[in-house]
Formats: sequence, structure tokens, C-alpha cells
Amino acid sequence: MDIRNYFNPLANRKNAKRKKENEQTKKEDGDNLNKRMKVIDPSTYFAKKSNSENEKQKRKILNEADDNTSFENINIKKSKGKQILDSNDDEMAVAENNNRTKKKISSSKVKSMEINKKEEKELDLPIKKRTKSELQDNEELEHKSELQSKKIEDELIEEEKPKKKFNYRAYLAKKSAGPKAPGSKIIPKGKENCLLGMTFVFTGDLSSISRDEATDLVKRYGGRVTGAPSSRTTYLVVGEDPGESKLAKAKKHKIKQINEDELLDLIGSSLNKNDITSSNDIKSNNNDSDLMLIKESVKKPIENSEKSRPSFNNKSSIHINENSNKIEKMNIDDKEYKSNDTLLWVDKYKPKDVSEIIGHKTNIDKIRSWLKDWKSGAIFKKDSPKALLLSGPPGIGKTTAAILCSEAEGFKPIEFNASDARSKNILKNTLSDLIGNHTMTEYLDKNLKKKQINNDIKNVIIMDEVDGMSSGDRGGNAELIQMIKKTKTPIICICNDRQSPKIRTLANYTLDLRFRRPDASAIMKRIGPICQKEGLRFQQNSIEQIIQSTQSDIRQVLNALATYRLNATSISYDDSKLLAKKSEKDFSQNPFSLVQKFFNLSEYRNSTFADRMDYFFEDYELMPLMIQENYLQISPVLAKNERGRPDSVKLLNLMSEASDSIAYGDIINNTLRRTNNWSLLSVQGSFSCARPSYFVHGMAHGQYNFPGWLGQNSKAGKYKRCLHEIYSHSCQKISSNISEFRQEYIPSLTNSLLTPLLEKGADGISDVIEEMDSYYISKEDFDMIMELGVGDKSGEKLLKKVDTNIKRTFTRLYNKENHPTSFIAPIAVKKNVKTEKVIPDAEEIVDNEENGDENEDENEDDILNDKILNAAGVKNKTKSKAKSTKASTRKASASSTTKKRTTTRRKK
Amino acid sequence: MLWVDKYRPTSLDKLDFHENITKQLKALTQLNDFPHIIFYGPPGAGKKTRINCVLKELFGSGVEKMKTIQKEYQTPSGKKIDLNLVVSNYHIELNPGQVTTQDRVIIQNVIKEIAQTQQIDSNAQKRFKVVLLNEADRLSKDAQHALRRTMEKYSSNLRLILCCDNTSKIISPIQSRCLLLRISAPEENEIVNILNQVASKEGIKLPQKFANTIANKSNRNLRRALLMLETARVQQYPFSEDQNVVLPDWEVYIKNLTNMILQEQSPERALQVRGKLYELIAHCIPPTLIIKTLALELAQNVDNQLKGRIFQEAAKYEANLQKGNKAIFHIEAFVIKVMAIYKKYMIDMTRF
Repeated sequence: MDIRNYFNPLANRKNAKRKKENEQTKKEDGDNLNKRMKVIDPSTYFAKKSNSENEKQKRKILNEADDNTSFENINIKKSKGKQILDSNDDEMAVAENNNRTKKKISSSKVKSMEINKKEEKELDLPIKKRTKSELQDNEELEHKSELQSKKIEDELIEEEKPKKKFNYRAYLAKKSAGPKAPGSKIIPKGKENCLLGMTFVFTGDLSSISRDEATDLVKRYGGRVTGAPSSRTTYLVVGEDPGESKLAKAKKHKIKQINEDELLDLIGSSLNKNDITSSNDIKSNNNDSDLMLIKESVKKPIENSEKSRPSFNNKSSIHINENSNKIEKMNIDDKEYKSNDTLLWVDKYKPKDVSEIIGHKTNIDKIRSWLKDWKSGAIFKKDSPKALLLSGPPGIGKTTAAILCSEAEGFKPIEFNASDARSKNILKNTLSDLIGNHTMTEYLDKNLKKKQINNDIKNVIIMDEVDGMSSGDRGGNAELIQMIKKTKTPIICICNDRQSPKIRTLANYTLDLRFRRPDASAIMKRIGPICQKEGLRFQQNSIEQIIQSTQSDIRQVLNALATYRLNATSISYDDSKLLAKKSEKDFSQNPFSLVQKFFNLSEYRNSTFADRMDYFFEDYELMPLMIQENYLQISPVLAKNERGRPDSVKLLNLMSEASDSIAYGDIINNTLRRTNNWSLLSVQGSFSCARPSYFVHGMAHGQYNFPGWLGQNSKAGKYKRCLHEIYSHSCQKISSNISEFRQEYIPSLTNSLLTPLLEKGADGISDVIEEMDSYYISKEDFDMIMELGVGDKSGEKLLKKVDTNIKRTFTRLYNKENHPTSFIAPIAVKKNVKTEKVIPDAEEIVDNEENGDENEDENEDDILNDKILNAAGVKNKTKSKAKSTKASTRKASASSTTKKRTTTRRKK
Repeated sequence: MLWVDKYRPTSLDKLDFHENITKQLKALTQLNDFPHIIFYGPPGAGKKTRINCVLKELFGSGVEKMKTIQKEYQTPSGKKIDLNLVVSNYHIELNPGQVTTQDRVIIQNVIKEIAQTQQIDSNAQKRFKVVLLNEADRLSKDAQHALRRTMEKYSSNLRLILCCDNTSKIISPIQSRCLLLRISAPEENEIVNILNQVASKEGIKLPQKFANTIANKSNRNLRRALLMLETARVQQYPFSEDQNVVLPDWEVYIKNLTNMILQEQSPERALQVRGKLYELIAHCIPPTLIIKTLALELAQNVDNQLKGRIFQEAAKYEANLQKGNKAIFHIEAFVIKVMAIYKKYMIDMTRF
């Protein structure tokens, strides 16, 4: 037999497939099916290599024998194989001549089986010699010695090196890098629920699959995965660089330690026993007398495995039986199910009673006692809030709790939600009537009538989704608060986002109850029966997976399951993962996890180009920026030379390609916006995000950053405005355009404005002020000029060298004096009517004291002459205000003019 | 006041170089039929100075009484735009570059407003007003088209003077309606001349060699030369023969950047360079200027074989930058490209 097959589970699978086909043909051949023997699941779980090899070989030979039409396929190199081949060939010849083909074939099978057995015996000699007990003893011994050696090793390690400091960064990087050799081992397919009842703990790094994948794998087959080993743990899967504490705990609880290969074997072997079962079936059909032989041959591994883990074997087989029963049942149910399905599950299984609500025990108690207070009237005596505010994420039962609690306390809930208009007036008109009113049904119901006399309050107002009171509900919130203040009816407000600014004021008038997500096991308890009722077979793991992915949103879990139930009757772990992935798309992902999807090696490998485009479309404004910000921080996997060593030139070339692509993306984006051609968006996505991620995917150094471009852009905008401001002040005196002004004038101005201060100290101040006045530069402009420089020679750096006292005197002196200004304030424009107020020349403004009065006179004229009373009034006011401040603080006219300008603008 | 502005010639007679053009301008002002003019040429050649002289020649010293007013305009979409105008009784000066997107509205409103009112002052020498458009090459195509009709329609009341660095971005219909005047940059000896003049007026001693260095370093930009002279005066006086010329802040900064790129070529370094580039762009240094200066500096410091390649790449990325929106992306791409080229070159060098 080809030894490669042993390491190649794919081939095994092929074999199995072929066998099944064979089985079918056999059935068609009309062989006696009833004679099929029930065979206990044999397990080759810890069978020695030679053992399983033998089995496989045997199976293969069986196959070949079965495969009477395709003998060409057989390419056994070993002599014994050839022997069989020969015998088979002989048989074929006979069969061709003979009309009773079937019998021949079966007899050929028998013969081959016999040969097979003999060989097996020969091969198995070393193993067969051992008795069962011996085997077990050996096992134990091995195990013990292993443990001991490990112990010694561990101790040695502990002694030799002090405990390594845990490096979180390294851990994260390692985690994000994924397995060392992904896909190097083919993950076998196992039998459904083959790991049922087993609990696994992982430690260290697995070489071929990531931790997540391994967890999935175990869960898929019904196993449980926990974080830390305990007495209930079945296996500790030890990878590279395992955690010391976990190993120690495992030792303490005597948990069996297995490695990755053993785990895969464990799963793969579950299918193997299945194969043997089927092969046994065939054999049993053929000849009863063979059965004993076969049974014997398989017995040993079976018994071994049986002893080692009896519990799980039994369980799984029982479970399978149950399943098969259910399937039959389901087929009948299915017809029924489809015919009388009108209600949504969410409504159908709505809690009908307070006790049915999942979780929130304390909150419910609080609501009920609060409502009791209303009933007894204690609420009016106590200083407690007259309303409740229930907050929490969607789908966890806030509304349900509110309604059920009020019903339980004998109130009639009246619900208002976002679908009702809730503006100030509407609330006032509808609700204020309701407060203190009764519903008609109360009067119709005779039983209630007596009660009604006892307590006047019968209604409870439930304001659902109060954080959704938006622009359409203007004033609704304020009105609600007013109502709460004077209400005689209990009001319960419900919201999702407790932090919303809309809620903040409301919260002051209410009793704040926060609903948390109930834990998965609590939801499970309720979902389980529902699934059973609806005829949906499930695995515990799969439902838990869905609950997790919806973040404990009960409503969404039910909806997802209801949708799923429409065309399936059972849900496996993989199905649930898929389902979760589908519904996951509804959540918006944060940009940091998205950018990881582009750059992280394992994430990159797991997604396609289309996926990456989807990630881009999650936020097409931000993602290109995120990519641009972070691509330089990745060490790309592609940056390696032929020998697998990092190559700096290749690295830079990759970076260059990526940056080029990002730059092209920017060009496309610009074209898109200029021409409004949004069909280019996907092109931009591929250039800005998908393509760069091809060049630079790999390991990230450090964390992903938020795009610096945004901040830099607004900074650039700010400085640009500053520059315009200075330029517009001084543009009369200078000759350059604005960019030349920045490039040539600013450095020179910085120099000539600061050097006097640096060299002459306080004496230089007058020089500086003179210089500033010559260009109409105000003190604010002065500060801006200092900020506009870059590098070591920027004004900012030089300004630091100036003594703070000098700076202070400079400011004081500047404010003391009056300064000329080139600027004339505009007058507010009304409805596109442009008026322009021109105060005479700059030279005339120099003396501000008189000028101020002049202005005032002018303004009075304005009031008489101009129709724009408002604007003039504003101006007048600001003028007088400015004047008063002038008197007190001796503020310069220049600053007052600017002040004036800003105030007028604000008024507008 | 800085020397550039202090010793700026205020009339056509006082202009120092380009005497031919001065004569031409003088002749034009004598005519009744003063044309629309486009002044173009490199920065620091004296365009604006000549325009002011022409205005003074046309209207007398009244033009010098200028004031800045702020006006608010409303676009058809309802957006409000603030605009600063420098006005005298005879002319109005516009910087449409301030309002990049909606300059068409500004052009239409401002110019029509002025054009529709006639010169009232009967003593005025000319019957028309002048609209001076600075940075005319930054006008959008839309705005320029809006301009061409106005130029003909209101030609009795209005003359346009456009001022720009080059005419390539001014549409040909406007060029054909104007007199094109190129003001070329002064020769280095002319700059030295003027530097000496200013020095003597200020009463400082300027060594000839230092004057030559300044003229050389100024790239024939007179404004720059004068500002350099003054900065040097502030830094160190009396001048020595071979004093260093103080370069503007951003140029020093880009020089440092070049050194950073040539010292190490790696993504980490590229990240540091990005930070510096952000700083430059944020402080209003035009991206094209950054890429140009960077390429020049790089070329000065690499082997001859690489120079051509660097300029080729610079040209490519500069062109892309114009088409794009986020300048930093393109400059960064250029930097990384240069790094890749340089690294490969250096490694190949060591291999042989």
C-alpha cells in the first residue's frame, strides 16, 4: 500500500466514498440487506500506526476487490498487492466466461479477504503478540513516563529561567499572524457529534490551524471548548509554546494531553470507524462465515478504544439513533408546519407572564414595586420619580418587561412608539387626555368594575423608543418632561441609547433602570424548547453560536431561526456559523477591525477580492484613509527573496506599488466627486483598498492608527484661514500673491518682528509695533505669523526664546496704543441686497477716538435714512459697547473693529 | 516696513529694468483707448509694481488711497461667501483665488456691479474704472467664461488688468481680448544693482560678493533677493564676504527632509517623512512646490545616473497631484518611489 495514503486523509476520504458507492451497487445487486449486522463502532483512535495502516490496507484491497469493473485503478506496488491483483484477474477471467458474475465477484471478495487476513496476521505480529492488558499497561507506562519527563522538564525550565515577562504586544502580533503553516495538514471530516460530551482546552500555538479554527472544529463535532482546564476537561490540546499554568492544572486534574495531530486523528478516526462499519456490512452480506474473522480483526482496536473512552462512544451512538428517529417524525411534521404558520416566532413565543421573561429579575422587581407604589398612592407621598426610564440594547425584552409588569400589577398599558407622531402638540392633546382616563373595556368588563372603584389609576403610559424622538417630534421631549412632572398616571419610558443627549435631561426626572444583556445560557433555556416545538433539530453549540453573534438579542435569534426553519429541519454548528455570518452583515463594523481585514495575514487569506470590496463599502470615506494611514506599518509577507529572507528592495517596491495605488485611488475619488460619477466608487475601492492590501498584507507593527489625514486637513484649513486673514489685512502694502506671501514674506516678517525682541528686549517693542502697524498687522495676526513657520526657524520656536515678561509688556503696550487698520466692517446684507458701507480712507481711521464718534453720527444717519434698521441698530449697539470697553480697558480701535465685525456677523 | 515695500517704485519713471516695457506702458496710458492687459511672468519680476505704476499714471495719486472692504455674496444655492476687496475710487482689486469653487458668482457680481456704474467724478482723467484680478490663472474655467462676455459688454466703463504667473491656464478667448505683457525675471546683475541701491539708501555696506550670492540664491526673484538681504542684515551685520544666505523656513525644512530620505530607505523612515510632509502642507506650503523643491534637492545629492529618473518620477507624481485631491498621498508615493529606486541603486553598487 502506498504509504503516502496514511498521511493523506484525502485519499482516505476517497476510499470511503468509493466504498459507499460499492455498498450501493451491492444493494442494487439484490444482496441480502436484512442480514446486515449491527456493528459496534470500532475506533482506531489510539491504534498504533501499523494497526491503522493495516486497516487501511485491508480496506483498500477490499475496495479493489469490489471494484470489479475498474481494475486498472489498482496500482499497488507491493508484492502482496500484486498477488491479490493476480488472483482478481484470474477471477475476472472466470467471471467473463461465466454468466453468474455476481457470485464470482462475491467469491473473489471472499478470497481476497482471506488473503488479506493472512497478511494482516503477519504484519500484526508484533502487536498481536501483546495482549490487551499489555497494551494498556504500555499505554499507561508511556503516559506516565511522558508526564514524568515533562514534569522534570517543566521543573528544569522553572529553575533555569525566571518567569518570562508576558509581552502583550508580541502576543497580539502572534495572534494576528495566525498559524505558522496554515493548510499544511488537511483537516479530516469526522462523524457528526463525534466529540459530544468532551471538553477541550487549548494551550500554545497550533501549527496548521488557528485557535479560532480549532475551536470551530471542536464545536462543529459537538465538543465543548473552555478557557482553563478543570476536572471536567477531557483533553488538553497542547501546541507550541504552551502556557505553564494550564499544563500545571492539567497535571493536577490528570487531564490527558494530546497534540494537534492527535486531535485531528480523533476527528478523522470517527469517520474511519464508520468506514469499517460499512465494510463490515458488505462482508456480512457476502458471507456469514467471514464475519467471525472480520470481527476478530477489528475487535482489538475497538475494544481498546472502548475502554479508553466508553462514555462518549455510547452517547454519540445514542444520539445518532435519536436523530434518525426524529428525522422520520420531522417529515410528517414538516407538512403541518408549513400549512399553519401565520405568526412570527417572536410574537408566537412572546412571554405571556412575568415569570417567562428571560433574566432581568431585579429590574422587574423594581418595576413592580414602583407600580405598587402607584397603586397604593405611596408614590405621591414619597419623593420618588413619577416615571421610569428603561434602557438597554435592542431585543432583550425591555418593552415586554414593561408591558407584562404593568399587566401583572393590574394596569392597562398604552404604548406610544416611534411610529406615532410625538411632537409637543400631539403629546399634549392625546396624552393629557389619557392621564386620568379609563378605557372603554373597563366598563364593559363586569368583573373589573368592582376593582375599578378601588383604585382609580388603571392606565400606564409606555413611551417606547424615546431616544428616537427626532426632528419630527419637535418639543416632544420637553413636553414629556412636563407631563412627568404633573402626571397622575405611571409613565414608563424606554430607550436604547442611554448616553444619547436627548435622554440626558429626561433622565433627571425618571428612575433609571438599566437592562443588561442576559447571558447565553438563560436564553438557551428558552430558545431550546421553542426549537423543539417548531421541529428544528439543533446542537447546543450552534444555538449558542447564534446567540453570541447577535449579542444576546433574543428577537434576532428567533427571527434568524424562524427564517432558517423555513427550508431546513436541523441546524448544525457550521450552519449556525453561516447564519451568524449572514446576519452579521447588518452590524456596522468599526474601522479598526475592518482595516485589519485588509492587512492581517490570516484575515487576508480568508477573504476574497469581493469581500475586500465589501469592507471598503462599509465606509467608503474612511477606509481609504485608514489604509493609507496604516499600510506603512505592515511588514508584508511578499517582501521576501527567493530564499525566504526579508528583502529590503522588494519591500520598498511593494510599498511603492501600494502607495501608487492609493494615489491613483485619490485621483479617481477626485474625478468621482468632480463629475458626480458615483459608478467610479468601486474602481476607487479596488485602487484605494483592495489593491494595496494585496501588496502589503502581513504582520502589523503596533496598533492600527486612526487616519492622521483628517486632523492634518483641518489643521491645514485653519492655517489657510489664518494666512488669508493676515494677507487680507496687509495686502494693500505688499505686492505678492498669497502663496508668495507665505513663502517669502512670512519668514522675513517672522525674523524682522522677533529679532528686535530677542536682541533689544523690552526696548525693541516699539520697533516691532511700528513694523506691525506699517503692514496693518494686529496682535492676533502677529501670533498667527509665528505659528505659520515650520521647522527650527519657525516663529513658534523663536518666540519661546523671548522672555515672558517682555512678551507681557509687548501685549500690554500694543493694547495701550491705537493702531491703524485697513479694514472696514461690512453691513449685514438682507436677502441678497448687497449694501456696502465704506468708511473713508485708512488714514482717516487712525485717530479712533474721534472716528468712533463720527461713526456713531453716521449710524444715526443710517437709522434715519437706511431701511435696514436692524443692522444699523446692531452696529450702534456694538459701537457703544466698544466705546465703553475702550474707556475701561483702553482697547485699541483695531481690535474693537474686529470685534464689531464678529458681533455683527453673529447677529446675522 | 520691509525694504521690499519701502523702496518699491511708485511711478513708471522710477522703474529700474525692462525699459522697453516701461516705455510701452507709458505710451498706452497716454492713449484714450487703454486696452485690457494681462501681466504675466515669474514671481518677483515686478508685475504688481508695474500695475500700480500704471494705475497711478492713469488716475493720479488718488488710486493710492485704498481701503479693504469685506463683502458678502450669495450663491444661487444659498451659500454665503465673504470676499475681501481692495478698492479705491478708481479701481477695485480682487483675489478670486480665495474662493476657489464659487468664483464665477464673484466675478459676475463684482464686475457687473462696477461696470454698470459710470465714473461720476468729472475731474477724473479717464472715463473707465479698472478691475484688477490677481492670480487670474487660479480662476476656474467657468469664471473665465463669465468674464469674456463682460469684457466686451462693459468695455466703455471698465478695463481689466489680469495678473498671473503664466497664461497657460487662461482661456484663449480672454487672451485674445487682452494685451499680453510678459514681465520677465530680472537678470542677476540687475538684481545686484537694485540690492546696491537699497543698501546705499539704507546706509549699509554691502560687499559685492555677498550681493552676488544673494542674487544667485534668489532664483532671479527680486522680492526674494530683497527679503534675503534684509533677513541677512537682521542676522548678522556688518556683512562678511562669504556670509551664508538665510533660506526661508520651508526650504530648510525640505532640505532636512531630503537628508532623511537619503540616509535611510525604509517604511519606518517613510512614516517619519510623512509626518514632516503633513507639517509642510498644513503650514500652507503648496504641494507642487514641495515636490519640485524635493526633486531639485534630491537631484543635487544623488549620482548622475539617478537624476534623470528622479525628475521623471517627480514630473509624473506632480501631474497626478494636480488631478487628485489629497496631495500628501502623491508626495508620499513619490518619496517611497525615490526610496525604492535609491535603495536598489545603492545595493547594486555595493554588489559590484
